[in-house]
Amino acid sequence: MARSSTENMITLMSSDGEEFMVTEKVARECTTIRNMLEDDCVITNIPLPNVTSDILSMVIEYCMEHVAAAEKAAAETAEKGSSSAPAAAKANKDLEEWDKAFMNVDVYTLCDLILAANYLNVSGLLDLTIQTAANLIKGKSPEQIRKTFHIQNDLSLEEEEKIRSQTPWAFEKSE
Amino acid sequence: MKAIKRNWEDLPTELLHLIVRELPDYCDFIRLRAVCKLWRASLSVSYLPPQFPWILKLGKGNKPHLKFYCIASQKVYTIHAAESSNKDHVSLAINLIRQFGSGDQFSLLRYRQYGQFPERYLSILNTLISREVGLPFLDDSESTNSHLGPEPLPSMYHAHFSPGDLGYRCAYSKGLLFMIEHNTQNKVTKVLDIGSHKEVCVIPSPEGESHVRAGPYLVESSGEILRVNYTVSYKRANYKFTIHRLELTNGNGQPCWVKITSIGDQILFFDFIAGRAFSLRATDFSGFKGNHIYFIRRVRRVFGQGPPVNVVNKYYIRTGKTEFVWPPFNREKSITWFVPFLNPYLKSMHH
Repeated sequence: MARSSTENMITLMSSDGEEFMVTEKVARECTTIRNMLEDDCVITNIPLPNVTSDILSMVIEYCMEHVAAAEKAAAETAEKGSSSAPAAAKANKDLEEWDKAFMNVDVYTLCDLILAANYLNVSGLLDLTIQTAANLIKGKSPEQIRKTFHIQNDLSLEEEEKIRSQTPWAFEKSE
Repeated sequence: MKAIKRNWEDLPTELLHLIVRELPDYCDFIRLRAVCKLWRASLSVSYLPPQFPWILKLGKGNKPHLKFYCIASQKVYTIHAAESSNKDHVSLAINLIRQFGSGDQFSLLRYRQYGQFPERYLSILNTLISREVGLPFLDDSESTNSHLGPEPLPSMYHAHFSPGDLGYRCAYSKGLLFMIEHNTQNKVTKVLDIGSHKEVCVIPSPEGESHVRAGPYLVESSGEILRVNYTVSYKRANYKFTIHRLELTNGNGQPCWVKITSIGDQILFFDFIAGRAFSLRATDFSGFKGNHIYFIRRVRRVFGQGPPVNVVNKYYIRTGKTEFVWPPFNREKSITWFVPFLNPYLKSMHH
């Protein structure tokens, strides 16, 4: 990446003290960081006390992939004068595939990614992780949801019975 | 090296709400609320996201029941009447209210049968948004008197117009009532001021509108009044909808109909059997696109004999293509649209 050397580099520091050097463009994918940079343009070192290094590296990976995809699309448009629809559709599909593979994580990591995407305000990553969590819930019984997300059942038998009796049809297996 | 893993129970409420918005099936929401105490506390029933209308079928016999087909998840749910049921739709309605739960959503049941009201009228009041929702009947004749879906008018207007005149014959917006005069030759639209009960004006029909079937129909859609008409070639379920939007002032100060080719983000719902129409915003529903018309119709069988069947179609306004939606119901039985909880944003329509 020869161009990187001419771009501003920003250092992001995770909660456990690890430093990540990224281009300003990648860092700006996080709205929270973009706002910091706009308030104070000489800032080069940003501590992120809410994000661990393993999660921060994943967020950066996501931002880099999406910046690269956007740059590629922009370059193609500039070259040909206009973007060709089939090529753009393929690029979109590739990125969707990449997102899908990126979401192949355990539920703890998914939870951390949701929190980090929310804290750093990366809207694309927040949408992706929220959608992934929703897909893990769809069509499942409360017990299956607890198993999936490793949640303790702290409802008493009486409480559970009461909840069920209010809307028994919602707990029955659908046809 | 690694920090302590977070627990899903501790997910901040606002993020849990984001997840819930991506669950288009009402039952997923109910089951999510039954997972643990924290989630139950975070997910008050008022956080239920707007629900894409369900297709409802009534069942009678030994065990009266309501069946719902959720288009989003392609699942069917069945609500049975109470054990002690006397096979009557009143007990079924009471049971429905009880089973939708929580009391603060639906609370009041009205059952009316007056001389001026030849058809029995049964409704529940959604106290959350002060809106009355009519319930259908278990009727032997499988007749046309099902009243469901968001009521386009405040319930007081039931006293002014007989139920048959409501629905897609009238539309209400900003204190004005719009009615198509079907007995006039060119089907003009009369505009009445609700406050003064005075006629404001009469709007001529759009030029070149062909009057076929029972149309045109009126529907209020995000503040606009739309006039919808369709033609159909029976053999291929080939529909063609024409839509006009009411322009209240066209420069000359004369209200007129303007033909439109897109309704943007809105989805129109018609029940051509019960005579109901309403419009919802596609962005409120995960996985649904705007500029569509969903409609329920009764059609003659193409092959063989027997009673007509009820079909659900989806029409894409941009391409003019019609698709079928197949609820796994006996197609001879009456079906209609049902919105589990009405959209809170509809509340603002009246103000």
